[in-house]
Amino acid sequence: MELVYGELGLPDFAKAAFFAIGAFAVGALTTRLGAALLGIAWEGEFKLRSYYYATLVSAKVAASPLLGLTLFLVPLAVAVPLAMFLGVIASYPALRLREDYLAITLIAFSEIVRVIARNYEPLVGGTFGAGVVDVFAWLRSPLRELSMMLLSATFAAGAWLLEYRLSTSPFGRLLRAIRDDEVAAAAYGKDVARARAWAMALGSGMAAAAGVLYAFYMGSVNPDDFTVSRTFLVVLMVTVGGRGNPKGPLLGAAVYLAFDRTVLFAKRLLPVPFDVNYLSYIVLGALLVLFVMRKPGGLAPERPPLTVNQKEVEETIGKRSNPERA
Amino acid sequence: MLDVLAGALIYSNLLALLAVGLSLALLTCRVSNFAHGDLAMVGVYAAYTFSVVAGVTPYASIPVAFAAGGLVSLLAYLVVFEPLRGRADLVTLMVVSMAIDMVIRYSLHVYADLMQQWLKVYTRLFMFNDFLVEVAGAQVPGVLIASAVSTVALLLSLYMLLYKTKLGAAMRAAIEDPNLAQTLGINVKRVFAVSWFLAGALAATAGVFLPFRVMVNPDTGWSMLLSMFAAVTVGGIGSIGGSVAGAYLIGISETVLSYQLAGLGVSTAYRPLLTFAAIICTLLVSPRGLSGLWSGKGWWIRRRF
Amino acid sequence: MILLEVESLRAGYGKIEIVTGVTLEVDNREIVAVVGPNGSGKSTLLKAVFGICRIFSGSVLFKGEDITRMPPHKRSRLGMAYLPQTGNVFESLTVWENLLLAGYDLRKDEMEERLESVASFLPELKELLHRRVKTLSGGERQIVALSMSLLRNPSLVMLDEPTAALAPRLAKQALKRIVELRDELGVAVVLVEQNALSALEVSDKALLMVSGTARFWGKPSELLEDRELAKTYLGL
Repeated sequence: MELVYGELGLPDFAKAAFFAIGAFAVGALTTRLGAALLGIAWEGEFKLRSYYYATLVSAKVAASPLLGLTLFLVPLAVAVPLAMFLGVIASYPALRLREDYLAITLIAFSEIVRVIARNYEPLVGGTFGAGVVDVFAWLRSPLRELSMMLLSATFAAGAWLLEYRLSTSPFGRLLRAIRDDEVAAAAYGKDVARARAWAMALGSGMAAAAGVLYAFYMGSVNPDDFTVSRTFLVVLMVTVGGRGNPKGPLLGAAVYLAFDRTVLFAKRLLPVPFDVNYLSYIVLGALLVLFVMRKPGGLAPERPPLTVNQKEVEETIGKRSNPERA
Repeated sequence: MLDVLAGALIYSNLLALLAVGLSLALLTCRVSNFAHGDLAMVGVYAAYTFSVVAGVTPYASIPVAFAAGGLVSLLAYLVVFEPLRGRADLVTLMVVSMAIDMVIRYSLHVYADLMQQWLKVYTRLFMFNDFLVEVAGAQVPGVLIASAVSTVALLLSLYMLLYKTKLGAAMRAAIEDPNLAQTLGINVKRVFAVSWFLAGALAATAGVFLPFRVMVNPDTGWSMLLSMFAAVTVGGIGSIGGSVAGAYLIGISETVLSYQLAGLGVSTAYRPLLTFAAIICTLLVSPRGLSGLWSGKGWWIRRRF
Repeated sequence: MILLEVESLRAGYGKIEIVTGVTLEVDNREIVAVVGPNGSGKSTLLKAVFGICRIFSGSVLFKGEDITRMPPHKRSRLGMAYLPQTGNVFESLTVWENLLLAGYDLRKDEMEERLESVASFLPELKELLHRRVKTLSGGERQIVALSMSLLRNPSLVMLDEPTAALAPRLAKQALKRIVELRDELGVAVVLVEQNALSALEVSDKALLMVSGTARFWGKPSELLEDRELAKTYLGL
């Protein structure tokens, strides 16, 4: 179960890590989108009925694995491209806005979406949320849980691999260059706007996938699940884990999850006159501040990854200085 | 209709005080302070506690709120934002402010729970009792008068401080060019500390007026952030006078528009949409906000970004 | 006693050494010109003497006291003034407010007295007093900046390319004023200038800096006569 959560954290920010633009809200937004699309998958009355429908369809899925597969893939196929598209759009205001104002605008936008989703009932059933089909109904547990885990693990691994390849590719270099000095990057003829658009698109797409997975895991989609706090948590994971290093968000997610479980555990043990959850948030906030002040690079500091093979470079240089060797 | 207007004015007064504080944080440390709304809540709970303990009306607790908000803000500055000044990029600063918001907000939650147990009062979704004042034949809520008077007084004092005193000149100088100020022997840290204290104090004072109109809980400040940022954006980032103007614009239009919408049967939960639209419009049409429209004259501090 | 003594100074930023071993002396009431090609470290030298960049080795003595490790605002209290090329005034404030801040730690009566004396040296100041610096021309800003430095009655004023942003006529005026600084106010001046000829014409001693080192130190007339140096490094 933790894996799904971690997966949620991983993709979003490994991308923004290069940027420090904060594809924040786009992340949160697209996660929501991914989830919302599941809700849209059928017409009819929502609110009270959606769970009923969900169970009904789930029963059908139990009979036909193919249906389950389709029901899984369709929202994914819709959510991810849509999210990528939105990500591209969202990258354009970056030209005019200061980075943190862009982030604020995006966060505001995602909150608006949440408010709409919350109040406009046909979308995701308002505050009741929408039931989601159990696409794994054709498997019996514990196989069910196992395959869920496997699925999310695969996704996470896939996302991570993508991240890693990207960060060592020329594209990754470009993103880092933009982060360090945008003007210089532009002066070298690099298309900054496009690079940014791509980065946002990829980050958004991953977030959407994460959102879809999350929705399937949860069994329902509730707009209030996707607040700015969630976005903040993801940022926390990335900052603590280490921006600019693909291993970073992974580490951060692990740390957060460990913390989260501990809190749940401690809740039953500690008799305090107030909700321990509050304390956990306070600690998390303090943790972030501490990390930013003491160890801004995070647990896994950035190491410039080799984008070119060293041997090849040596050979080329050797050839150049020694023409006879060519 | 009169009540709506009254509500709009009260809300705008609060927003003005809050927006000015937000501007100060932005100008001194370049941080979009997500924790600013919570300072208002600090004020609320400080005033509430004092008024319960001392048995006075919350209006009398305003000085307590003023001090409490100022102190918390000062603390945040000294411990976090000053060390990070010039050392962290803008987005990181913003994220840090979100973290500070969590710390303050949830500490308030904890406090609210404790206060409820110790002082035996409701500490969430509570309201203060107001009284009505007879003005020109109409019954006016006391909070309208109190908030208007406080807002005018505080903003006027701030203006006097900034433009008629040496310290104020030093503050404006430090905001414009901290290095030059430093070279001239101005203690920039001390000067910024004063700004942050005032920002928090203003926010806290604004907060005290909230429970007279709406039910509050520790999260209320957070939910007002969008409007605060809108006020600062519309008024012009980097302009204190602009923030005030923006606050009234946003405050009045938000209230009036949502009243109209309610009349049309649209849920008032859609109110943030208007605010957001205002931000987008400003950024697209006149990124420098209102202060970009007037130039050279008037009451503003420009900061090159 | 010699007003300013700089001994084998090595200075720069971060880990990079820009000034690599410079020695010079400034006496009371004299103008020392620092000339040389771009990037030779002239500005850095001034900054190091004032204490706003890193000193790797060497020493700076002012009025006999070793100030190598002293923070800038203390140096300014000892009587040293530094006028950088840019960032020397507050644009959003009025001239009066700028002056007020320049004399931040002066008492009211001291301030009035100093203001009077500065205004008599720079009469244009009186008219500019309530204007916002933003609205002033380059030459007017220069006057404001200079008066801010003079407010504290310094013994030594270090000017970094004061004529850079000025039209030729105004540049001439500025140089005249610098001479008046020495003659009327008895202030010593270290003058970094791109316009080498004009600077050398008014100065008592000259330092030619090339790539961080001193290539010439002595009488300006001798530097001008040295055809090789003058041509190669000063374009004369």
